[in-house]
Amino acid sequence: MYLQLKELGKRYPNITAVDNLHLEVNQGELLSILGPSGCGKTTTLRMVGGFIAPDNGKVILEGNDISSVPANLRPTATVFQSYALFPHMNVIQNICYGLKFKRLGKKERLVQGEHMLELVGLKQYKNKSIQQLSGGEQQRVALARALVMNPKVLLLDEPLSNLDAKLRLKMRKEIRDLQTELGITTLYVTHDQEEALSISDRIAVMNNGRIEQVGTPNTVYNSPASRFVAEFIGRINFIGGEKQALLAVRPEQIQMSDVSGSTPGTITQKQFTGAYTTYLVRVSDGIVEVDVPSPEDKGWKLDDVVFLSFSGENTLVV
Amino acid sequence: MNSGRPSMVNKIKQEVSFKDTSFSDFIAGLIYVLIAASVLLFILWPTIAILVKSVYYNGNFTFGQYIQLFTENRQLLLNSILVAASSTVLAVILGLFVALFITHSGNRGKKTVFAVLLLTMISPPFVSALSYIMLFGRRGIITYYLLGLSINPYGWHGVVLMQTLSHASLAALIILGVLRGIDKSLEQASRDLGAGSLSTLLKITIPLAKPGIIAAALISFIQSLADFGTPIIIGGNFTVLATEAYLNVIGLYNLPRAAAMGTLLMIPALLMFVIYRRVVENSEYFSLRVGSDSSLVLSRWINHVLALVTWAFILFQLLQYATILWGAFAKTWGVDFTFSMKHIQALGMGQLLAFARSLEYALIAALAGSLIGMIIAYMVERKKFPGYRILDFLATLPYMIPGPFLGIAYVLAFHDKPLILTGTVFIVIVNCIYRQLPISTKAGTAILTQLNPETEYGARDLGADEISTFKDVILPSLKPAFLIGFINTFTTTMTTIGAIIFLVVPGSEVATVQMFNAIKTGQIGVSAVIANMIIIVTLAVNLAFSYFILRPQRYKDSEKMEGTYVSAIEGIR
Repeated sequence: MYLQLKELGKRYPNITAVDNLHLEVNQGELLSILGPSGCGKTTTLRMVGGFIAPDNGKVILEGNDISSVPANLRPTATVFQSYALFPHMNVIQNICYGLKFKRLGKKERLVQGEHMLELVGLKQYKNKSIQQLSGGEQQRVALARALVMNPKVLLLDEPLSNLDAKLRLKMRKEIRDLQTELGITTLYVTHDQEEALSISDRIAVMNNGRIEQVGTPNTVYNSPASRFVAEFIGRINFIGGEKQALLAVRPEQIQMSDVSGSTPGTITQKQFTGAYTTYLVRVSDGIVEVDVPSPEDKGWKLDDVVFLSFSGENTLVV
Repeated sequence: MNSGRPSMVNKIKQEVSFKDTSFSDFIAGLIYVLIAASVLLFILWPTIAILVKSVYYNGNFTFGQYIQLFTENRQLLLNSILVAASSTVLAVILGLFVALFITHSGNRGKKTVFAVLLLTMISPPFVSALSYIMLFGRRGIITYYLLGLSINPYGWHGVVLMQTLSHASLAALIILGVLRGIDKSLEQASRDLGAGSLSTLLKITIPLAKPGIIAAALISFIQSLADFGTPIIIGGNFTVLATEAYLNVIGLYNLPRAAAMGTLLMIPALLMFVIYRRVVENSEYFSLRVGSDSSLVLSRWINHVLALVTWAFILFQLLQYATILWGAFAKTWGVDFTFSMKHIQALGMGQLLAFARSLEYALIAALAGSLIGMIIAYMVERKKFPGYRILDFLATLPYMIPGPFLGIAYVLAFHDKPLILTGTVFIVIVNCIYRQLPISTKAGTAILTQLNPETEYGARDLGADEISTFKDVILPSLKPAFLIGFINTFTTTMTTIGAIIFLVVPGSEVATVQMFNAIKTGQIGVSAVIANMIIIVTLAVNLAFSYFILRPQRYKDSEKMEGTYVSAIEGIR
């Protein structure tokens, strides 16, 4: 494997931020580190980037231990959550800044910087000051600045969290396209599971300083390894548990019918979201969420009695 | 890190020279160590020296000097405290009036008042003493020519009056800063509940401004104790610690006695500082935000009173400068007021050289002092090396130390082995730098605390070493702080006398010393000329520097500057 995090650990006075973390990243893949706030994902990223020294463990890149290499010498490049653009430099100056330390001549720096600028679609912003850019544009400058360094590993720390919803969708596609085109090994930290699912080659789900599961989006979604993963990714219903085995069922895996099914229930709430409607159905031991795609929607109303069924192979046993 | 480097690192070597950056980091580390050492040497060591010398001399350990001061020379101590207390109370009240005028009176001349306040910060030390003599002396314009009196102007009343007027400006600026940070809706709430404007001012506004008032009082008190220039010129037979210390060092060379006096000068300052910390740091509403002026509408008569006091103050300040200007061109002040260039023509080589020296010292001290202040702020705020809290405290120490004290301390610390520096230019400049370090440092800190650390991570991530990070990312953001440090150190060096008087030797005097000599020998015209030169040059350099530093930036500099300046002044938090 290309990048290996081996038994990484970091403790602070009151808390263990990262606990014996083990992760292997393949060359050219985009691996998301997904988890709730405070789970240790940013700390992990910072240890890979060299900004935080781990208490124990190693960071190994292409077979070489880079754990004690200082940040400015590591072949990693980071896009920070706040973008960390230099406020007193304009766009092209920001992008070309790191190239100075690669001993390139001024002309060469400019050529590479402009090439990257074009790649992120900001060619006409070359001499603009940072303050004149919108959030999405600043993000792209931060990305260009990192990519122009031709890093072996690209580190992204919640790059889209400062953008509004629509822009987030657009930018995550652009980031993924760029990453695939350039083939750069990427670690992508986020708390947004939909984001992780949509663009990752693999996802590492993190909680309380530990990795709970690593797998493809499909695996993590359909075969969660723990209750935490099942609940964190997508929505899930837990049914049974006292007398029978606990079943975990995704809302879209439940069929709802007026006529027949194994479990009867009453509709208590209805949430129309466009492509589908989420029905909250009260059954004997709680409330179950059912997603019905709009084309199949029979137009149920509150207090309607319905029947739910879920087939064996669609349920997840956790 | 240097032994057994993996081949990965060797591959990196081709892109960035490992040796180069580690060399740069080494240099950075060296700089940090040197600066920390210099703080120990030029702030801590002199302080220790003076404390020690006051009780240990001629091979004996004794409190004799203190005993003598408290018994035989009790009057001296009382004089100092009385003058300091009176001028502080008056200065703070006056400053409060002016600050309230600026924040509460709409736009009527607010900017002019503010500009004049800033101008008065540039005053050379004897301006008030000199103008006092010219206006109120035996043949003063006001006393003799206007009122026909021929009184003896020397004594404590003159000292208190002139100190009050000198310190009121800074008091006003400090209180102004705090007033602007007050949540305006509190005043509105008071009105909403039925209080009149006077009640609102007395019960809401002024109590909320308490931290600023106390800060102003503390600073005025220390400034008064440290004031050497005013009492020595117009004090007459009325002596205070600052003047006695001077005579003991320069005239009598009784260093232990001077040391004891200097130490005594420091005690009330430290005491007030402790009180300040206790009161101010515990007040929840002490905000350093840059705010805005009040929209509270005051009753007519309050407006009139505030306006009257403020404009009278402003006019008197301008009168001082006008008088000094006039004095430079009057043939013989007090006798013959015809226009004459003779004083300017009489400027000898000695005086011009002294002026050139002032300028040289001031520029060097300002540039070096500002830079050192920025680096210390960086070391304390970001790097947090072991012992950084001590460094922070030491860097702030000179602020509480009256000028003459530090001057005497330097004499004691550096006139003997192992480090004999007295009589050199170096020690004069060093004294000017380290005396003003607190403001340079605090200005830097004020900005650094608002900078996102991720920007520095960004630079390092892209390959920047320690020095490049500081140079490319930190320093440009610190421009306002650098400017404040520069202006403050430049101005104080050009206009200072209190500490320098102990360190300059005959033959290498500076302009303020020349001015002092001229006043002592009654040469009003010459001293007026020197005063004007100092004022004009200081003003010119400060304005030019401000322009060059702030011009490329297109942010709201004046607000940011003001906020940073106020933060720096009050920044002993």
